[in-house]
Amino acid sequence: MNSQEIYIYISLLIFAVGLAVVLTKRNAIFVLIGIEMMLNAANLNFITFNYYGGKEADGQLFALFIIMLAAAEAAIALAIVLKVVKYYRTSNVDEIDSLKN
Amino acid sequence: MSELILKSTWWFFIALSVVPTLYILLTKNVMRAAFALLGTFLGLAGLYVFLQAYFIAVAQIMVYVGGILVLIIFGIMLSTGKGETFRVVSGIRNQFLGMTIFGTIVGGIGYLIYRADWQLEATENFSLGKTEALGIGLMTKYILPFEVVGIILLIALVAAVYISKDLKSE
Repeated sequence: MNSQEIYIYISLLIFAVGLAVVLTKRNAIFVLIGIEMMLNAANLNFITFNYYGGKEADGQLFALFIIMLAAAEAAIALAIVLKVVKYYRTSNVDEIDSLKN
Repeated sequence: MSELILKSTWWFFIALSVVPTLYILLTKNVMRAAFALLGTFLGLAGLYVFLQAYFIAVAQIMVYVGGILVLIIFGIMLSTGKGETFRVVSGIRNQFLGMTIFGTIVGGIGYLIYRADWQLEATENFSLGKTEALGIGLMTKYILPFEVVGIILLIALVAAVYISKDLKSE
């Protein structure tokens, strides 16, 4: 196994764990943690493929844009989570189902 | 000797990013998951250094560890009421479905990665690690996304302040 495959396996593992966390945990902030992990996995893939066979630093620039958007997303999402917790008195995403039925 | 140190440092950062990731999947405590996320972020930053992405490694530590992780921990502390614990227990059905999807993704894509024929070699590209290349890229080829991201960050800041403001107090 060469080192490129190891990087891609790490990226795959982090992405899959992020998705599983989003699906299995009930807490809204746990879901946010899962989303951040998936974004990080994408970053690692971009940088790996930029290093192996990249002529310019395009992949690193993409990773930089992803980091910037993740910062904006985390700020907004946490503000929304705090408002939802204040309104529903719970951070359990299974109980926040006013739009269901 | 220096080769050995390099190799063991590399395996250390791999372990630092993989072990807390698995811990986050198995734990039921949000606060511990947030602190384990610190290990994942730091390990990935170390791996970026090995991939010659020095600026991204620094940006990862500054933005994720210094910004997003602190925000997440503040969010946990503010959203947990008095008397509540940090524990989350999910339903057994959701747990089963989530683990099934996790196993399917890891098995399926892992098999594809194993089967794939990697012909790529590490290029001896010395301009890759330079921050200068990123700066030139941001100012020439990617000037429009750069400006748009600047506007998005401004909008996100204003919106976050507006959403978390108490509207009744006006």
